Amino acid sequence: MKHLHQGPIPSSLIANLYEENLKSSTNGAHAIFLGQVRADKFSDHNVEAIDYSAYNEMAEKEIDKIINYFKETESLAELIIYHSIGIVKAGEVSLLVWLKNKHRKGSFDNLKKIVESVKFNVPIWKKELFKDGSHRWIDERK
Amino acid sequence: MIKLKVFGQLTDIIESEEIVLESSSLDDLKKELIRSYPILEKYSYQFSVNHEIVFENKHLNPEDEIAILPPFAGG
Repeated sequence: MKHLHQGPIPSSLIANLYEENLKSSTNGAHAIFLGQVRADKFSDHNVEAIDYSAYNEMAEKEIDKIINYFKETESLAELIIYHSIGIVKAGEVSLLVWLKNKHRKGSFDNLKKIVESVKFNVPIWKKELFKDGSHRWIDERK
Repeated sequence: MIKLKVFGQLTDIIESEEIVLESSSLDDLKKELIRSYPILEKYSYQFSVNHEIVFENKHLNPEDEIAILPPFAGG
């Protein structure tokens, strides 16, 4: 799997990307988004974890499309996206977007658009897992 | 016979991650699904054929990969 990561995205992956992405000094801006699972409360139930499921092959293709689109239209130097599948506990990271650009101009706006694109276009679903064993599917439209 | 992959909340409704239907077109598949699972009328979803979202009617071949997809919720 290229962009889907089984389980939470570990700090070691982020540290490795830090080492790799800063090797070259031709780019001056790195904009990074980390999506962390929140310990939300729903009807007196605390969210212990989120179970992410995906239509894997289609999700990989859609993330490729997002990367190619933004690299071409916004002339980004590099765009890296990882999304978790499987169980990610509250407090752990489930989404990483790392954007490299020559200048900071456009970096913040593009980062926001890319995160929204992942939410809107990639076939991934999430269900909140509660301590009593019950679960609730998340509908992002609500 | 067509295999339909099921995702997200619909796996709870249909109680499976894959079902087999007899339809040969997308419109027929939709009708057959509602007949088998009338509660689906209360839910939002779209269909993909070979990893592309399809809105209009389309002939389905047995080797096509068809999926029913609830609204995405990644990120």
